[in-house]
Amino acid sequence: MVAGIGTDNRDRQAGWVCAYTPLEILLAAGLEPVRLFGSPGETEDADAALNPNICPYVRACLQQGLDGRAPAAMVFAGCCDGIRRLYDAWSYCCQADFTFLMDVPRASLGGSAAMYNNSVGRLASALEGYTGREITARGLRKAIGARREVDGILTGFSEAMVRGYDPPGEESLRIYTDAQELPPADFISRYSSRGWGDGVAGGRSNGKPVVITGNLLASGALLEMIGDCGGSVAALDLCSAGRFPALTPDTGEAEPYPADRNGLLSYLARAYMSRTPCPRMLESTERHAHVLKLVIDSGARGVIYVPLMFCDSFLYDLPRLKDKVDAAGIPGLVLVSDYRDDNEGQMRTRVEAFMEML
Amino acid sequence: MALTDELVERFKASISPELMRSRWPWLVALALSRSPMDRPSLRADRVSSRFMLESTRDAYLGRRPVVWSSLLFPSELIHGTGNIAFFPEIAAAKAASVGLSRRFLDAAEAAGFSQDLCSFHRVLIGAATEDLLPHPDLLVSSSQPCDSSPLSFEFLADYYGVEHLTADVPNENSSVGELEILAGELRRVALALDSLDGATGGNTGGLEERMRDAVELSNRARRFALEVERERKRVPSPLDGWNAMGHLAVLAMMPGTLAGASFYAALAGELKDDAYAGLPGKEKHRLLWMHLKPYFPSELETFLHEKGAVIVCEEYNRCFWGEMDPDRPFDSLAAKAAGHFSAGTAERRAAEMVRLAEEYEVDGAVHFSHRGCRQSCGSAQQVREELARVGVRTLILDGECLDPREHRDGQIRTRLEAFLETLDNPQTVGSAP
Repeated sequence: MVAGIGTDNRDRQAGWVCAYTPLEILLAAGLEPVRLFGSPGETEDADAALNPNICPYVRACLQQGLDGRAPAAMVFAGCCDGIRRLYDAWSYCCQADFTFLMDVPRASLGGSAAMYNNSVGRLASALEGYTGREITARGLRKAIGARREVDGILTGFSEAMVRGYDPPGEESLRIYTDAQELPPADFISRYSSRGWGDGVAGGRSNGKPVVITGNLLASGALLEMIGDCGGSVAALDLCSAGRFPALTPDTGEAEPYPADRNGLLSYLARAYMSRTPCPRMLESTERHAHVLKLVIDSGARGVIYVPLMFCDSFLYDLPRLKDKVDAAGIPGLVLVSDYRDDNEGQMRTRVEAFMEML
Repeated sequence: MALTDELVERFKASISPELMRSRWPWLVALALSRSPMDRPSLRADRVSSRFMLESTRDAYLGRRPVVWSSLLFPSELIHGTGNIAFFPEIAAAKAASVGLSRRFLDAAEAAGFSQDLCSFHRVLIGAATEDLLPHPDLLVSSSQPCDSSPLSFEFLADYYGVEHLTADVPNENSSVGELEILAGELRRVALALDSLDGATGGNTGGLEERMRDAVELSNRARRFALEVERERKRVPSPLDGWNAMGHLAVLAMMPGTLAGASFYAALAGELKDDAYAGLPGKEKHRLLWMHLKPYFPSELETFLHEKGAVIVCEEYNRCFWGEMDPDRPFDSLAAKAAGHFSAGTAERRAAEMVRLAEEYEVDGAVHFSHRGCRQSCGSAQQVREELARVGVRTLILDGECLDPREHRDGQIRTRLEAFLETLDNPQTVGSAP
């Protein structure tokens, strides 16, 4: 069974696949948001339903749906061709009680932001129709509060890694994965009292720091390998890790959001549109600056780029991002991922060589 | 190698940024296009060839501001603001048709672009990095039909140091509110286009008035294009779809121009003309062709002719929008952009293909699954199943549009041949090899 998804609670869960999905609305509708990480291993059925040239994460998710191991409700943020086709195939082939495709614009300003705002409103109405439960201002405020706490913990963890906190590879990925699979209350109770050390940038003692940038990792195997080869992961710039938090952490000051339902939905739309941009957004300058900042703040000596195979969003952006990082004197290694980690030997050879070069 | 082939190869090798920006190759090309030596199979093609040659020449010579546009961005906005529209995806297909795509693919890969990306965009990026394309003053793109245009244009805008504006087109289940937002975005783009130097193009009217003119011209082209489509529904078909796929360039680039209306008027008149000889040979199979075709030289066209297989309609090469209201140009153009089947789900696309299959009375369909196209390949199975429900068999043919290194002519012919044989056997409805 895929972690976080069980047959008992399938009906009260809502699955999602892209970080531009406003999870607070799912929570306010009385559903438990659960990110799909896909069925591990072969994806023959999904390959046949889609096409082998589609992103392997998308195919792994469809395989999970075809295997009957996904929530009854699914919300697809239509951020790329792959996820739009996943929505199609899901609606056509999987036994889902509810599917919804959101419009996700590429720019965060002007009309594009208004379009996303509309899409958020339509999602809320559709979820009310599905659950029979009204999404109230109170419910939204509660969900936003819980999610801010989760995002605050994750942001603290990411910042600690940049400062030098160096957990084992699998553990560093686990906290982010838990944030996307567990109900907020469970996540908070598990992690809120954890400390992340007081490392200082550039002061990590046990390895050459590297920044990882990409989409998603199927497992922590690469991170373990980096540790084995004398490296230390200083930041995970992935949509399933460091880029996942969307809300401003709670600082104890006045809540930054309005009181009424529509105002809260607009607040969420703005928050998600202004999050650390994914390569699909046309805000590459901001994204490139974000990666460079991670490198500088952490004292990283290299960057490992881990785009998913066939991910157009990342692959079109990669040459420019790499040029900018190279220009800063930071060497890089590109490891295109098939989201299965089944080429471990080859990957290890390349990581070893890269670490030696650093 | 024959002497002419060698001369062609030497000419291709000599193509340089300086050559493309000098006047003489354009003088020669235009003179050839007007001479009796140039005998296109359709007289209407003379209209489009001349428009494209002159427009491309003007772009290279920098006679007016040059606006690069993605395939489905409404061209009326660019023509209405008096700028030169340059469609690099179409230029990429043209480069492949004259055997230049390999060179540009190599250049794009050397610049770090993965072979997994769409070859249309790798070719145009490669040509840009060799400085063989006209320099843009602005880039405009839309989010349909696929992710590649806005993403590759973002790189190119950075490369040329100019602005890139993109229009997010909502999916078909979106509300009227989203179309209003898109109309507002198109107005914003039009204002940016209008502010480029020399953008009035000799027309001193206000923006609304010029957009009205462009929309009226587009409507005129559309009315003639619909006449062409009516003629093409005849049995046997009067037009070969393999070549007609080249008219996608007209459909993308020329709405909003007088030449666009003239092209479709000429084509409609030609197809109705009793003197028009139509297609040679017997029409044995009527095919719907989905997505695009290999643009580099291949034997597939001849092969289809030999088998009596006629492409009677093409997914992309048809009028997908309704009559527009010239008094509300931006609302109309927003509706046009959102009216394309690619702005939405596979269900919408499949329904469109079923309608086409029925209207054109096809007995088979081919989905050409271009290797780098997630948008199209990802819904091929669903389209095939929906076509099967109405008794139309579909062949999903994996292939490449612009990268000849990935093309297997023999394999494709074998699969097509087997498919055409199944069309002769009515007992196997819905299946395909």
